[in-house]
Amino acid sequence: MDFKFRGRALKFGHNIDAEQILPSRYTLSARQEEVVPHVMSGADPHIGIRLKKGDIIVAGTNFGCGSALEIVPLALKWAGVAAVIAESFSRVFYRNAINIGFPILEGTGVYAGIGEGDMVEIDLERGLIRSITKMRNFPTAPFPDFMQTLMHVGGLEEYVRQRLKRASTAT
Amino acid sequence: MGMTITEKLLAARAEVESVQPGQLLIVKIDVVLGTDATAPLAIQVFRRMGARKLFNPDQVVLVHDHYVPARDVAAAEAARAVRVFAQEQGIRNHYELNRGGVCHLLLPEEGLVVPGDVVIGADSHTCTYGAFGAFAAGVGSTDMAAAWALGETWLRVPESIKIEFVGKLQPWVGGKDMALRLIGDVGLEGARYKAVEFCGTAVEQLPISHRVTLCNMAVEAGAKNGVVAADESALAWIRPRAKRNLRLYRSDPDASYAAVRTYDVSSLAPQVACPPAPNNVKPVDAIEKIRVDQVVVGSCTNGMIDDLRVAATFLKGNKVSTAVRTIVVPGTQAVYRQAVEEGLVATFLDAGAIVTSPGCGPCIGGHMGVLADGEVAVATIARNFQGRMGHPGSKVYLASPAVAAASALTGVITDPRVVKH
Ligand code: SF4
Repeated sequence: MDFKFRGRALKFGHNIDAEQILPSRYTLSARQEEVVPHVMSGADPHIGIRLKKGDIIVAGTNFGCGSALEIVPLALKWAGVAAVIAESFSRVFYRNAINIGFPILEGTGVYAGIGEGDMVEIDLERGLIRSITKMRNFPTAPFPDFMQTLMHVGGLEEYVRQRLKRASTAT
Repeated sequence: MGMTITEKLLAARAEVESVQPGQLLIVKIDVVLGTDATAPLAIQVFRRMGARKLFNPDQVVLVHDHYVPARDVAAAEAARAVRVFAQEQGIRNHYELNRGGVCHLLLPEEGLVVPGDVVIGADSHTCTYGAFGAFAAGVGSTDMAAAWALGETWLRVPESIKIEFVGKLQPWVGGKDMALRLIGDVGLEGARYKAVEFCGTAVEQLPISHRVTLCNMAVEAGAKNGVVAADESALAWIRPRAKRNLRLYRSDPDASYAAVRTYDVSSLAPQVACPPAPNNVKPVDAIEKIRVDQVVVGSCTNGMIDDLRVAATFLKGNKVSTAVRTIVVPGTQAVYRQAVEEGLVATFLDAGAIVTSPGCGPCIGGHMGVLADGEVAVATIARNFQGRMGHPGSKVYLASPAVAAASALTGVITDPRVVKH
């Protein structure tokens, strides 16, 4: 997992719920090619022409509320969204994103301070969000230690894989 | 300093004396729940983790409820993957449609979740089990796979919010209206990351079915868990079903809360959450004439026998409006059977409603009652985000079984207090 990105900001509002990120009628499919065309379509029916690989989603409070389905952050990852920065995230979206190694960061003032199309730079390790366009930095909420560990190994799957491996070689 | 019930539940299973909000714990899990919607992905992750065996197959529960009977080939394939995994791992608590229903009602009914438990489930409404004095929170598929392998998970101790309901409820007002009023007041993130503890004299009077609705909907305010301490009336429901020992906890009098809200429910009217989100809540009598195409009674929020009895009270001897497709979804097979025995199913059929097989039904917009563009539904489900039950242009109003049934009769959103039944 990369820790530093630069990308174009795609702006969304507050309380962007799971239904807007991936409408639930598409959530059963586990095929990337079936899911990707519908990513963010609940929030913007014309998302297809707006979303480019490497874009960074910028949103208000409570991003990802609603469903706990892991395919919701996974679909963003599959669609090539580089990261999501928001004023705050719903609990389960936050947890799922960290678990699958999808970069997210809480930043204060990002919703009002970053505009659609701004060039944005983030550094997950140092907890940095910067709008290059507006030449402005935004304070971020630091990740607790355990989550930093998860991010460094690339997510919970890899963390457990290593732990099981250690346990089996120890016996 | 004292601890809240949530803190005590977590401390016990983390095997520590005391905990504080914000603390990160590794917690032993009593029950790990997966469904046909989330287990297929978790199975893939479990295998990729290099895990071979579950930490304990008897603490893992798998329920086929979201897409049953299989709505299409993809659902059938996903269900098969779950079935194969259950057989391979020797999971006895594997509930196919013949012994099943919607997971959050099924597990307590089967006695698989009891007071004192720490439960994680790969479904956002896992918080429902708080109604039985358990700590229960929704997680994703990777979390579930990790818990399958390790029997533990990491949890941050949430701050608690105390919601006290006092007073005496009017007829046809109950848990759904209390939950909706709360979400309307605090908003979709009013309880984000927090434990919501329900208490007060009005909660003590509530039957378990209404407590289920309260805890179930806590997540719509962003909560990690909802909880009601199990009292004698809850235990009277739980004890005959419980398959394991109960551990009873209550909050200490000097426990500390991030916030306390008190409601007098005596003047509470039936509430309705209007589109496009569960926090857009109004009293039913403040809603103008809204024509309804479909009414759904059921789901993990309102799919117990009490909920069906309320709907039947309104439909008995009446006919639903010819303009309204009325769908009743019993929560579980046992609820279905009881509804047959009590004559509720006959009442529904006589009134012109249909009764479907137990499960999530149309709640997730997958099948069994998907809405077309512009259509309006009144549903007893938990959430109404845009497109929840079908086309993004459809609209869902959330309400109690009483409001839903009254609206089925008249064809418009209706105050149950003014309907003759
Ligand atoms: S009934 Fe609805 S809310 Fe409940 S578990 Fe099923 S899909 Fe989710």
